[in-house]
Amino acid sequence: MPEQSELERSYRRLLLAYPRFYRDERGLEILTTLLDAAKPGQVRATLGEAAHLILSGLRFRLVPPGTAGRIAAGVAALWTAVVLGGVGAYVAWDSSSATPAAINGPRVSALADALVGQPPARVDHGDGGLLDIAYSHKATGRFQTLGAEDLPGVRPVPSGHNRLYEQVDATRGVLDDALRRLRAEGWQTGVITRPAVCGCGVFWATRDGLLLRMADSRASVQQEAVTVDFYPIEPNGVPTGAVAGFALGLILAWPTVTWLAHRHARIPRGDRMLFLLFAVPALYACLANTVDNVLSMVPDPDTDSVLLAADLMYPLANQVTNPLAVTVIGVGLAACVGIVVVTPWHRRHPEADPAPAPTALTES
Amino acid sequence: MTMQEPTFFILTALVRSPLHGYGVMQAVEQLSGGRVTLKAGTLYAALDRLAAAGLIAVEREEAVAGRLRRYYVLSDDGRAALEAAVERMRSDATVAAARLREAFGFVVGVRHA
Repeated sequence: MPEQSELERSYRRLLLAYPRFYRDERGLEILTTLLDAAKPGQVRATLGEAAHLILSGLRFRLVPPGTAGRIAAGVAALWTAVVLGGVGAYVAWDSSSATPAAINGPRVSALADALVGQPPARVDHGDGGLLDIAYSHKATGRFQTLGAEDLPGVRPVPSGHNRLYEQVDATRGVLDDALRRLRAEGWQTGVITRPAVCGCGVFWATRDGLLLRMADSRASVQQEAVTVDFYPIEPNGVPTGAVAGFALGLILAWPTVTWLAHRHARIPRGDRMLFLLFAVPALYACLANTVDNVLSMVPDPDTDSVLLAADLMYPLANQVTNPLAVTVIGVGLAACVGIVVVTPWHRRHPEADPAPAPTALTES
Repeated sequence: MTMQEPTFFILTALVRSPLHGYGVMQAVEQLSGGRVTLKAGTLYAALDRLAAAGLIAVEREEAVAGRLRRYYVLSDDGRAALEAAVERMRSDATVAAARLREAFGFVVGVRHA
């Protein structure tokens, strides 16, 4: 009947909302039921039927079966989102704007020496790639009081050019003189602050894409140590990249784990145990690694540290530096996908498997 | 756990004889006096869930002229679950009826002022 073939096409299109494995399993049966239930003369799905079938199909794609499936999807999606957030921050990082060549130049060195009035005892130049900085900058301890310091509206990339001056005459008021001089030379400056934790005086200044941090640390009434550090300004757009990566991670991981959970429920018991053998360690690695990433990235609220753009790359840097977790997760995911894909293949190709295949009747 | 009404009627529909999907939909509507109407998506989600829980099973399939009908049958576990649900509902109804009788002196029907 022509009406019915058009109706059938209409239902078949709507059934595409279901995942393919479910259409293979139930599609024809649901189609038959829909056609049985159709009103005489009906030529296409009603609006209500269409909405219901689309929502039912999406439910299969997005709602994992059972509590364990939902927990697994949540853990895996969160790990993927956090790591892809790190990837997004890395991709969004505009290196050209964040690493002015002048930072290690002689003019900068001469400026620092002139501000203090003597040559430095030690000079360090930050090196290593972006991910090295993201992974290890907190270990330097230089930025733990940033929240209590007066930044001039921009934040530093936490790796730069550091100059240490020892045995500076503490009676000269080096910091005050330097601040006045920098203001006179057109630097935009903050005020001198004295964070309680370090007991030091510190101010920040910026000009020409550079950030200067100058701090003193009194050794005695007469003498103090002074540091003058130069940092690039962190680029804009990094948080946006991190948020985009995070969202992409959720969008990719949640349906994938939902699909795996549905497929897991449909494979033979022996394969299910094998699946869990890989899935459980992978999920544990996701959970532990996510906790590590978040705790390492987010500033401790009991300190004056702040979240820098570089910190947003930590979850990616952590995978590169410590690849054990990502390896366990990758192997687990590959094995789980392999198990759920190979099992139905064996069922469809029993000649490739010497063991007798279950009948379709009992597999429904 | 309390059995939901669609589940209750699906199991009830399968008590007498195996039914295919559309047969279940018709039986549920009839048994519930038209109060419960199942759409295909809801029906098959429920059938999946009940089959996974071992409360129903596929008795046979009919594949004719590009159509596929699977006939579902109540399992022993399904029958036990339905009996437990009936007993619970009967017990709940008895408790409610007794309270109504104590309070208003009548059992069947509710009088409105």
